[in-house]
Amino acid sequence: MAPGYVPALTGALALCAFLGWTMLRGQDRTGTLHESPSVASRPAEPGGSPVATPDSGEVARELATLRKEQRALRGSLQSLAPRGPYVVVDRGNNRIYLRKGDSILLEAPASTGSGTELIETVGEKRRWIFDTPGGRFKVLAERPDPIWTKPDWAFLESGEPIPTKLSERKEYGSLGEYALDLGDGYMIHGTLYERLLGRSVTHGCVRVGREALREIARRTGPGSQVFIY
Amino acid sequence: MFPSIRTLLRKGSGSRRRAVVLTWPVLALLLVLPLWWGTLGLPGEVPAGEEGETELDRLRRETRTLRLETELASRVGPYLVADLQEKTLSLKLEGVILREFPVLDMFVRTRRSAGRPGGWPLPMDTIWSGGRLLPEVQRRREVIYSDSVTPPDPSGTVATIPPTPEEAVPTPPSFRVRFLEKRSLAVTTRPRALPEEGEDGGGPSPWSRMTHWVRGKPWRRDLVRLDVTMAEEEAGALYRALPPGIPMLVVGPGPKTGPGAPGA
Repeated sequence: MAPGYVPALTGALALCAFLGWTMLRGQDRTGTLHESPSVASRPAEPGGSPVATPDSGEVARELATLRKEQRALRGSLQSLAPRGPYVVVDRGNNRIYLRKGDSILLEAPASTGSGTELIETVGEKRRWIFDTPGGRFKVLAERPDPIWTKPDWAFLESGEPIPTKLSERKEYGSLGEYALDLGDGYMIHGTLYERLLGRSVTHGCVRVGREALREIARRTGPGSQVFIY
Repeated sequence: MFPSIRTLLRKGSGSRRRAVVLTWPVLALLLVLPLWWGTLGLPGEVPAGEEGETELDRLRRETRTLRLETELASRVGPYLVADLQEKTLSLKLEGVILREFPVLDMFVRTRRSAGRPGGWPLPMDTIWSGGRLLPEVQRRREVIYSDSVTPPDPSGTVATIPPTPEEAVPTPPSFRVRFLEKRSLAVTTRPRALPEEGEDGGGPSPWSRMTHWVRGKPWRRDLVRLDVTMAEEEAGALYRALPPGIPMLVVGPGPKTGPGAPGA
């Protein structure tokens, strides 16, 4: 390249670098948000009275109305919150929490549904999906030393024939020391396989380690709220 | 200072002339390119001044936020609440806190228009709907057919141990939740062990900023974006916890809303 172009090219590149740097510097700042014309020019919200020259009586009335509405709305939100300790299950991360208000009383690994689908190829051709359901639940019953009555899928899954006698379905000790019944066959219970805690291995129930289960059972009871997400 | 095209063409040989004809358009393009990026590509900070806010304004804003949260709390399924003032991100269900995600940094930005904040509708105190996680979490559902199951091995063969959530769904270095109306929550992770980057210790280095910006090219389509920096563990937990279609309430500056908030 001819020497005459070097300063031109260098200058152009320097300008580009400066503009790029300015641009990036301007993009990121301390997080303090600044007032700008776009805010000032924002129209008042529908139903809102103009702030510029309000009549003092009108303002006082609106303030009183807003305060009243706020109290009602806060009361409505507060009524949704459980009064006592409540259980939160995080399916995506296989964790269980015992919370009370804003504080966390306990956090422990748990196991939730494996997501496996079981298809019965003969007979009734039923299908099961082993997911832990999400939503808001209530502890219907708290059972110490629970006995598991194995459903049909438990036999199909292990390649065993489905028994005809109820007594052959009973299994002792596999649910740990406590079972918190959430309805529809779903429970929070203990496990014999604590090494699998933190992994998605269950058929929809929530498995918890022995110590965590004791604490949860001690602080909750029938009627306690359980949130699964 | 620089030789003009006419001078160069008069003085130069044939190859020199060709070089001139090619070089000047390239230089012009190099000059225009950053300007184009600056005006169209970069989001501008969203202003949200608390200064000058009257008691009436504050009450209106808080009431609107409470109305929106009450509406979200009456819906089925969890929702996010991003508080710009407190710099917190919470996952809630029916008004109850499920989990609070500690945030290292939080910015709201709008897309620029002619180099200035675009004057897009402000994202505060509104519900962002239809959140879609990008990249999506891929979960494979295993199917078992009852006739293909063999009885347990009496010799005690150990079954395959499934992966942990972290192994099954690794945390990406950055991800976003794209909402309707070209709004996004963009999460960038920062390893907890690493010290904060940047000369002022308060943000990423220019190089990180540049690479992050280049990686985030598709985000340029967003009109409004909430940029959040989180510790890797927390970001991963959020990434694995978000269900499809999740809504988010972005709360503007002001006292924290909800039960137990100041002034309740």
